[in-house]
Amino acid sequence: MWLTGIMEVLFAGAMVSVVVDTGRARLGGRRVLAVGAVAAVSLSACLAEFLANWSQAQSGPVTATPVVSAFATLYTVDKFGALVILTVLVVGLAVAVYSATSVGERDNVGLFFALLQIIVACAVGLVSAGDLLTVFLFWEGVSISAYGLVSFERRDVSLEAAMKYFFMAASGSLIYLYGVALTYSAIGSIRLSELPLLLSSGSLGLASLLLMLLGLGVEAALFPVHMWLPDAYGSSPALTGALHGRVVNEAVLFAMLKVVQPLVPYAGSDLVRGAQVALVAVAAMTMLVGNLGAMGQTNVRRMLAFSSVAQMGYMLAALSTFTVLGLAAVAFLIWNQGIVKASFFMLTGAGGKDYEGAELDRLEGLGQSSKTLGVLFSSSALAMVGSPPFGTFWAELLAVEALLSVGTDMFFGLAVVLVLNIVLSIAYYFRVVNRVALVSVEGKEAEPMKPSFLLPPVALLALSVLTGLVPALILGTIL
Amino acid sequence: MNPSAWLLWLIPLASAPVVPALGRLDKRACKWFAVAVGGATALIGLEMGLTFSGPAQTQTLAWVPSLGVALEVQVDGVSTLLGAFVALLSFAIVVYAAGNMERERGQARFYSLVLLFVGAMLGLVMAGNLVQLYVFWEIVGICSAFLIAFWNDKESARKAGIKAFFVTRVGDAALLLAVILILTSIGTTSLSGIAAATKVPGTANWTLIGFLVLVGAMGKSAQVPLHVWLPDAMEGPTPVSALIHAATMVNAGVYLLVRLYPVLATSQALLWSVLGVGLLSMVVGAVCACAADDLKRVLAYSTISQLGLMFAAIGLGNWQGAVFHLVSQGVFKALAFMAAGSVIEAAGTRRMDEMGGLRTMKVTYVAFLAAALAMIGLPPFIGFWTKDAILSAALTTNQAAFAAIAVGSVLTAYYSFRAVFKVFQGPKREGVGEPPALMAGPMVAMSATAAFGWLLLDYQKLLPFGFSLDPPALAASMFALVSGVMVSYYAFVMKREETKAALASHKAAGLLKKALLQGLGFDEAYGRLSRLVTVSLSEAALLIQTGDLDTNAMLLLAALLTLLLLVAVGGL
Repeated sequence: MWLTGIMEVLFAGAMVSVVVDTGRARLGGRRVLAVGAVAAVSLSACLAEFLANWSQAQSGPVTATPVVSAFATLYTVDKFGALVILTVLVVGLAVAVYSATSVGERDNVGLFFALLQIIVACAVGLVSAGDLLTVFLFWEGVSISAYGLVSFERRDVSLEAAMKYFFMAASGSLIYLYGVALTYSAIGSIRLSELPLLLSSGSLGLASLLLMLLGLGVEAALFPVHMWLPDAYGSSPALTGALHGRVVNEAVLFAMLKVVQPLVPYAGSDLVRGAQVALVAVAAMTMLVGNLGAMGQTNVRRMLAFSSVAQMGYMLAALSTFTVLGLAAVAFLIWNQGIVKASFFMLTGAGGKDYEGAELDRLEGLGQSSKTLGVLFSSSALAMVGSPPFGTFWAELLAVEALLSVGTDMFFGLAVVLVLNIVLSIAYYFRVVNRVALVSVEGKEAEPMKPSFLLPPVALLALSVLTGLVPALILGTIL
Repeated sequence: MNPSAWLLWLIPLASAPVVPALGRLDKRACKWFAVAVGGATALIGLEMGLTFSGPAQTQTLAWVPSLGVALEVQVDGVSTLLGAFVALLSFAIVVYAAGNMERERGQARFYSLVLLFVGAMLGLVMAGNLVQLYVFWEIVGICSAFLIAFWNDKESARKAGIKAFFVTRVGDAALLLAVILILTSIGTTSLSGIAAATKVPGTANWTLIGFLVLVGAMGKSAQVPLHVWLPDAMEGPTPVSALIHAATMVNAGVYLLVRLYPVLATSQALLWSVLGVGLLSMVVGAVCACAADDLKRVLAYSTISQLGLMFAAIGLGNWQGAVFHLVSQGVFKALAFMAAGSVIEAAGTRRMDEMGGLRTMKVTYVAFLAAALAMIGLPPFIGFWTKDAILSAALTTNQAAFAAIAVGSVLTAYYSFRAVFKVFQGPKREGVGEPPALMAGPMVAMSATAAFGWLLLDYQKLLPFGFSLDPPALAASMFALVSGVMVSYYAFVMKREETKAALASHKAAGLLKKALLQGLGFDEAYGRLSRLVTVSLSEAALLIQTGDLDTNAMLLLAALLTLLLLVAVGGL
């Protein structure tokens, strides 16, 4: 089956990356390029394979229990999942190309590209998991690789961030597992498709559902358990920030969607209404705390981390509607914000800047010494605040439409909070535009830009514009 | 299929990305290319305006079928009239810019943003549904912000650009909610579909929608209290002020209300709100214009005031009057900015106190005078006819509004001629030359339009153009005009020095002037609000961001307990 095929190719690619890296003595200066090429090739192959089978996922949920496969468990991929897999593969490929020339000559280059491919493979598995334990399995896979990436630089601060991240995510897994156990005791099944049985389980049903969502919510960085994310972003190199922020958070948020999805036909039930109250409150707080927190940052990467928290809030808001439109909005937000956020992260690392290099003071005037970077920073900021002609505009429109379609005062209020939060985000994104793209600093010299630094963000932004101009291209596949 | 209705906006939109590429080949090519595109667009607009003879038609292309959104142009009296107006005016201003911006750096950036703006503005006017209109609404906002910040070496310009973007986005947020509420309530946002749905009771919460639309319109059309961005927007180059911040984009709010008039008409409270916002803005804008010393800020406050008059007209149910005054204001205000740009270049300052005696610039003087005469509504200038239509409608429907508009007219006459006298009267200044032909040409053409353009307003009968020449309305308007100009003449020509001295020594006058120069404190209040959000609330949000594992663990535990409490209280 093509789905497990993708994961197998990626795991094989991970092993090859490590093996190629053992020949470092002979490869010399071309070592990073060679290992990176392995990752880029394997990701490209997977993307091609996935696109070739795209129509299959569109025609209905693909459900399979492969008999002969290294990963024989239950998989379900529907049109929403397909779009998220596309996002993960596209962002993964962009990061691989970008990293192939930006990762320094460190000892663990092989491991870096191996983890990159494993994280993508596990995210694909997580998105297509058909039961609660498969979700857990791949989620752990994603997390473990992510711990490795956060501590990649082996500085004290990276190790501390990784440790905090590990503690929070592991606690989240535990809470999730508890929810799964309760679910099993309530309905005797862990299949996602059988979750509607929780409806008749009273408080136990609600407790199981909320525990699973809270557990996942820790790693999706939702309020009040989002604090690990800015620390983790802050200590990782730009590329892992890009990868981590989007692939991990969004895959985990999509796992929340998978738990919610079977309950959509029962949106009026007590169970769903009980869960909605909690989710709406958390969504509103998450966006607010994320955006307000972002305003206080002087480091662009840390600011992006808080902004990611806010965007998780937007997605959770759409998710909390328990409607098909809401789920479509989540998938569409994941695609649109995923590609733009990854692009923005790459820009902050353009020229091989480390975390300190992403301080606003250091980036100041960059756009005047390199006009291309100025245009790219401005475009990314416009895209992040949902301006046309970028695809994010349609994603935010769809999210608000999902909220307003519910027709209750609570969701109208949430829609107001959401649009106001998007306005709030202008305050800090345009501070970046002002200081990075518009201000000119005397004596600031243009930094040499390798095409490989610019190509991936340009390609991602182009995809965003394409989605914005011809939204039906992507939207037509999920609605 | 009417190809003009599509080409009108698609040509400038498609041309915008070509400019930077041209700029790499030859810097001068940018401006000639923009002039050529502007000319082609103007011809198409003219052709459309001259050949359209109704009935209204909609043309549709598939765009986002899953959301029920199509690419749609609405060809009717309003869009044809305004489409032709925007296209012709843009052409005149692009030609003017070719002279005015000749020595500036960043030609490619300037002209590509201007063409993008022109395309989006025309797209906005021709749009047949609200989603499409909103997309263009946003794009004109982006162009406006980046053009205000065009001189990016100046901190004030950068700040003004960002402020414009932010403040208008507050209004846009309300508009977006309104658009989506309409979409979810009636399944379409096409203008004809909305008009039909408003006739059926209970299809949607039209009062809420109308209120949100009003807030959106207030942001773009700089109405109190969302007007604070427009005076600061004067930091941009003068052609930008003329094109975007006087004649076209700022009218978008009025245009929106005209298009959604059926929604406003569902509730008297909504119409009253529109009237109230309009009258308030008219007075606040006019009062601030009376005190401002920066010539461009005078014109900006005047725009706020004139747009307020259009809002008031809509609130009074006379939306056709608003459309005609929109065109008329666009003409005389763009002309005033063109002349102001010429004056500022010659005097090297925007402060009127440092000007005076510039009547040696004959073309510029005549142009500014024509603009001022049209602005105060002297017959037969274009402003007379369009203002008369609104005044006479007010007289029959709402006496209080009539009185307020009359007061606004006195103030208008006063500040317009205050500017004329301060800039051009006084000891003659020798040695200042006329602007180059590229600037003078459009100024002459626009002056002629300000004087005789009214003959064209009714030429094609695109909209029923009504003016009554009602004796009481006429008398009031003439009295306002004469009294305003007289006071101005007395203060700034006859007693020029005494006025200066009195204003400097009189304490109360000084305080009043200071309050008016500071825009009546709106900016300060917003500044406080902004600090509250970006500093205090932001710090509060970061309180839990201790970087301390103990805190994180405690919060996780708290979340878990809250959740269990919810389950217990939920008692399913």
